[in-house]
Amino acid sequence: MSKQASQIDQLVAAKYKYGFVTDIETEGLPPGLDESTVRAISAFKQEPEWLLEWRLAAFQHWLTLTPPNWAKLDILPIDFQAVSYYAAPIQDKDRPQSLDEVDPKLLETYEKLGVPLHERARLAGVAVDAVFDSVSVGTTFKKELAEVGVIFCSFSEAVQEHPELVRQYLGSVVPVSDNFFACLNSAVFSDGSFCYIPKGVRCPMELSTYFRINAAETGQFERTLIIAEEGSQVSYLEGCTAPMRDENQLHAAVVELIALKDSYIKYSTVQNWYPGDENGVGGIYNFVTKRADCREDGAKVSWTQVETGSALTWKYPSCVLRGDNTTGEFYSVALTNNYQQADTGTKMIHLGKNTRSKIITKGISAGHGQNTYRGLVHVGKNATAARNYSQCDSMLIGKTCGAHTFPYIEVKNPTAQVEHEATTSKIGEDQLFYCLQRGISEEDAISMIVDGFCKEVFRELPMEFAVEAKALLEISLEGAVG
Amino acid sequence: MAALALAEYVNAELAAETQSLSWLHDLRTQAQQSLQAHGLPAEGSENWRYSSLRSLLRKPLSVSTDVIVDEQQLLSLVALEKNDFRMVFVNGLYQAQLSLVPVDIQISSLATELKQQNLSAYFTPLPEAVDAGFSWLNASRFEDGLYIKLEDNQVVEQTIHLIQLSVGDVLSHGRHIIDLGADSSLSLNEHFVDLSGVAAGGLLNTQMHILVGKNARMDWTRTQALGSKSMLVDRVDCQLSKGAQLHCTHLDVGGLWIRHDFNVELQGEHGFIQVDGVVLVRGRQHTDFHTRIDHQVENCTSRENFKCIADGRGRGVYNGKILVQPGADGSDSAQKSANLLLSPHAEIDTKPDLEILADDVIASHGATVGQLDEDALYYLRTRGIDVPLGRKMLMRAFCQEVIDRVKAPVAREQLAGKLDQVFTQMEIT
Repeated sequence: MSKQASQIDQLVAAKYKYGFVTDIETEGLPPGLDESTVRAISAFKQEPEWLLEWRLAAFQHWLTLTPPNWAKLDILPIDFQAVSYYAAPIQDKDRPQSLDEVDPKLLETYEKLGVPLHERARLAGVAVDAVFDSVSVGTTFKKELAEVGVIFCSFSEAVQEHPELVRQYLGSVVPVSDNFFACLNSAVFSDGSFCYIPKGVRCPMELSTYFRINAAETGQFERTLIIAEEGSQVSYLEGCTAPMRDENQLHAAVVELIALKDSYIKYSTVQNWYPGDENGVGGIYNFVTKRADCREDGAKVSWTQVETGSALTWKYPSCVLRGDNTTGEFYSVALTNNYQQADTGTKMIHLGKNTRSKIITKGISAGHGQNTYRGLVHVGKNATAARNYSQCDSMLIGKTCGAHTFPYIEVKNPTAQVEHEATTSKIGEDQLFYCLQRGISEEDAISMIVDGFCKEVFRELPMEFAVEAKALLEISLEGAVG
Repeated sequence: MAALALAEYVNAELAAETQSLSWLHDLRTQAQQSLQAHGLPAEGSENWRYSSLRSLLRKPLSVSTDVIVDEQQLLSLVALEKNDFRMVFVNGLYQAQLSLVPVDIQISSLATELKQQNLSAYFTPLPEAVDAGFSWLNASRFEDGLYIKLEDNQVVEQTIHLIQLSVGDVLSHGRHIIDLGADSSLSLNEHFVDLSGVAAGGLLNTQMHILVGKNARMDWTRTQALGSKSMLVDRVDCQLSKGAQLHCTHLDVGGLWIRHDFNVELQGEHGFIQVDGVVLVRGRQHTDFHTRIDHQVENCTSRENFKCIADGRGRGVYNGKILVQPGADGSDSAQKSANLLLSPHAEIDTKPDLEILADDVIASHGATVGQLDEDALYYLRTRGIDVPLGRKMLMRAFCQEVIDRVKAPVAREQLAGKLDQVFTQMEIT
């Protein structure tokens, strides 16, 4: 036990490897939020009148809301007036035309993160729309995508170039009034990604966006909108890392997926925002509203997430299975170490006939981490022959962490079949012992066992992401296991 | 006294105390203050999200008056013999002439006991959660209930029956205390029954406080077969000492609107708790089962197995929380909620919660919602059993797993008999 304790101490001391600050000048708005902030953001981005109206309506509604407190999270009150709502790299006016013109410091940042942006992007066959703070700085593979009719650009570009699509779909999955943080995002969102896959097109490559929070005291409020037309297919990857800061930074994103007839959207996330130090100081407050609407028959949406970062995670990627024969999937690995808290899960709303959903979650708690799965499976009155299978497993490492499970199951149709299973356990002493006597070091053994625990989820991730996710898990667990 | 809505009772001033007990007076005043400050659980309350109080609050209720109940009728209602030990409460008040108690143990009515000793320890502290309205309502107004105190090593061989009878549109607040000394043993069969007829029904707001001493054991069955208009809000708080065992099986087949809160604190090592239940909701019945098992110390075991069948416009709610406190290593808990949903207008809401704050634990839970197996029905038909009977057989078999877990043969047969009776009377097409 003492050996374990010393290893814990030693490993707890491991530092966040992505904690660097890119020193480039940013221009932005001073901290504070009122109607003029919303107008200023809209003006910065030269948005059309209808979008400004939409933002203002959201802002007015937001003023009437209070922050939710039902999650199992210990949140210090957030001062929304202390946050700067817009920051952009100063080079915005003469935006780089190609990657060669991009600020080398910026590229260096991505280099350290291992983003396959430049050559690596080509080798990996990944088109990266890198969002740096709030403004998209470089998009690759745009041409190749354009040839098959796929639109993949920053959100602000989409507002300028494809206003009809944005106007038709924006807020149609997550309405302005949906919840406190989604509403705030609707008012002040700065940028994000937009993706449109035309009818019958199978997107030729995996689309990917890297979000980074860089400037101090900037909240990041990105907005992603993905539309898959009839019979189309797309796989979208999102990865997040953020540098080290002492204050808790606010992040409130909204992701809307619209899956039309027989389309398939696969959305994978690796989230590694700064989790705060070993005393729970600093770290990102991550409030995300992600929802997919399987609007027409035969659509399928699959969410995969690996959550290793953030001081605080509040995130429930959901599927509204509206069409008949639609499918929703949710695969998640959430890890909390030190003083991290995560309240995450999913909602599967079965409304159409023959709808199916599957939920596989793996929660790992270490240090003083608190990990909560909160999920809802709702089968509506008309959802004949709905089928759900949920499995939620938790692993506890150490005496001071917690793992919680709150599965809500609501069934109103007598032909539905719903199953939920959950287990909580720690790493088996005998498993460890077996590995040790085979000459595997304790740390490697734990890493192996944790990896095996998460395997069901990792195999859903695209190859490059699976490798990164595995590495991240190892880094994040350093200092927790013994 | 004219019938009033429940909300009016909540706001009414407390009646002047007939007994001059200062601690009781303080308790009632404090409870009433909490009640007036927070009221009954509000619509948005998380613990009450599936159970709206709307129909409850509208219900006209009167206070208890003397009712004459025929002993024979009562005994046949609960299928008991004349010489079975029993404590009978009609609308919350003790009926000595209908009861039969063993002389060698301390068992009496709470009203009698309050006059003889200070029982304040059993009532304090009052619950503080903002949604504890019904507890405060009970604490401020209870009059009577069951009181059992077993000395160390006292073993009660014969089963004791607790009969709570509701007659008419009456609001009652039964308050029961069971305190088992070290190495003692008790088996209790509880019956909620009704003689209101089809037109009327009361509201029973009962509270039970159970202390199971070191290595003591309690076997307990609870059969709720209230009338079609009656409502029940029932709260049980159990505290188990080292090595204590409590086996409790519920059978909920009656009533219109039922809410159970079953709270267990495992306070000593190697405590064991098993809470099972069979719930049947039909017509417009609503049954909400909340359990909360708190593993406070190391090496305790908890088991839960709930089965619910929802038909007609019935709604079955289950919320089982298992809490493992920091340091409660070696905790072993398993929780199962299996549900049959048989009608397009019925609803099942189930939520098995786990809150785990220690690492060396085994905790698992499972929940399922499904239908009767068509293949099994088909098999029965090929053997000459028609669909309605086949359905009954499968439903009865679905419940049997819980019945089989009842240890005492007499109690097991009694529950099985009650279930058979319910299924025989049930109309199924």
